[in-house]
Amino acid sequence: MTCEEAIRYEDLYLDGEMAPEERLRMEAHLAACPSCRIQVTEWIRFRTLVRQRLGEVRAPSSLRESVVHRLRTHRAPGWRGTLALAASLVLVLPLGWVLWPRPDDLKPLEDHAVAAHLAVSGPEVQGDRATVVSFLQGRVPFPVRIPLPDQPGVRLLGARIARVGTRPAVVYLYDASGHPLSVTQYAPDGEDLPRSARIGQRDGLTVVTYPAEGLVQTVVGDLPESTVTGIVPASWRP
Amino acid sequence: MWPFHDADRRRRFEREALPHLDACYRFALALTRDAAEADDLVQETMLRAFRAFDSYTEGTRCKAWLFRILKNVFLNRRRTDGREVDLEESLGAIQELGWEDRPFYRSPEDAVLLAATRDRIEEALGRMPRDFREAVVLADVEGLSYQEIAEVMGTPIGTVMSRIHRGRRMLRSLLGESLGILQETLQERPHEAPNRGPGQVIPLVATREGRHDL
Ligand SMILES: [Zn+2]
Repeated sequence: MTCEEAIRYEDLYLDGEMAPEERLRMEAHLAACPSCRIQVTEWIRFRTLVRQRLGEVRAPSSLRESVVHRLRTHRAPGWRGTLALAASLVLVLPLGWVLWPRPDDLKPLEDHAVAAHLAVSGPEVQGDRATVVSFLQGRVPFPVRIPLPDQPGVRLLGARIARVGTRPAVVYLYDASGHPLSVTQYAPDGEDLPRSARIGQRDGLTVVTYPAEGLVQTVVGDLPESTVTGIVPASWRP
Repeated sequence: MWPFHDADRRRRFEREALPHLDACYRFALALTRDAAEADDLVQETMLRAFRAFDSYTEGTRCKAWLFRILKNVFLNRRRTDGREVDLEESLGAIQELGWEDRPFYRSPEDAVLLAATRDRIEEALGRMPRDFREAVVLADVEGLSYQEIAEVMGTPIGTVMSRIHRGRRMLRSLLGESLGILQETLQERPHEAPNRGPGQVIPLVATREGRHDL
């Protein structure tokens, strides 16, 4: 390699962009030629200097905090954006409504269901109905009943075992046209045996509680109330 | 999408992308030369990157991926507020600087090393056209490969090489100038006389080969 070539390649050499055999030729030249060696060494020192001085620049802590905060409060695109689409979605819930004389008894239980909905970090079991059923069997002290029937736009994602107050419960996780939807299911305890459907809003979420096959189920989701109202048989609508 | 998708994603993002926040800020500063604008740019970049995180494939370098997004956000903003500096303007700026005719002092290098504080380097960088500043920062400070730099800058690799080559020499020249330890007239380096003593001046432009053309 000539000095001329060595100078032409000095940036490539500096940046580690030379092919291995070229690099060897370059190094052989640098070993033999003090002039090029000095020049390349100076560039290496210069580059190191620039990297050290500028590399110490850090993002302000206010920026870091703001980014972290925005990430944590960020909701996936589509949740709110697809409200119009979701409004056209009609959830079909199984029949079996009973009258609930004292709906206020349900409030604390619904609070638990809403808290469970918001706290979900992931399913314990992920997959289709069969997978979920076989996972839950024997793990909860009541018969396993997948709460929502198969229907277009509503997909079972998985489930996890939870508690409503002191009662064992199962939280089923659904995707309803891009909206997270949970159904918290537990066995009634006499004093609050549901006798009528209950629809309300809590923290911007629609909450519907109804009985099915001897279990209490609370549906929680950010779907508009009108959509969820569609799931309630006409005779029970508020 | 259930929140747990978001939670998983966020954890992964915080693990893989967030460590590059400082680098993003540095790159944003190099592009904008303005702390408030850089701050803004980084915030938007991180949110966009988070939304697009599914399209990030593991194995590619996350830093380079973030830089590509940051550059896009930057260019979109500049286009929107009509402040885009195109290459022609950059070239015009070089002519104004007249950097091609400037020598840089090659020794005593230690004086440069000692006196070249962060502020001084930033000031010198600030006097360079953006494209050259960007190339030098991406290569020398952030250690991106030529291929990665080409993707961030949206230019062929040959252009990247040229900008790094000329940018480095520009920076060294401007820095030497600001430190007042320059100067003699530029001489072609005598290849036949390899043993140059300290204090001599070496040429700024080592090559004018086609591969280094813009
Ligand atoms: Zn040589």
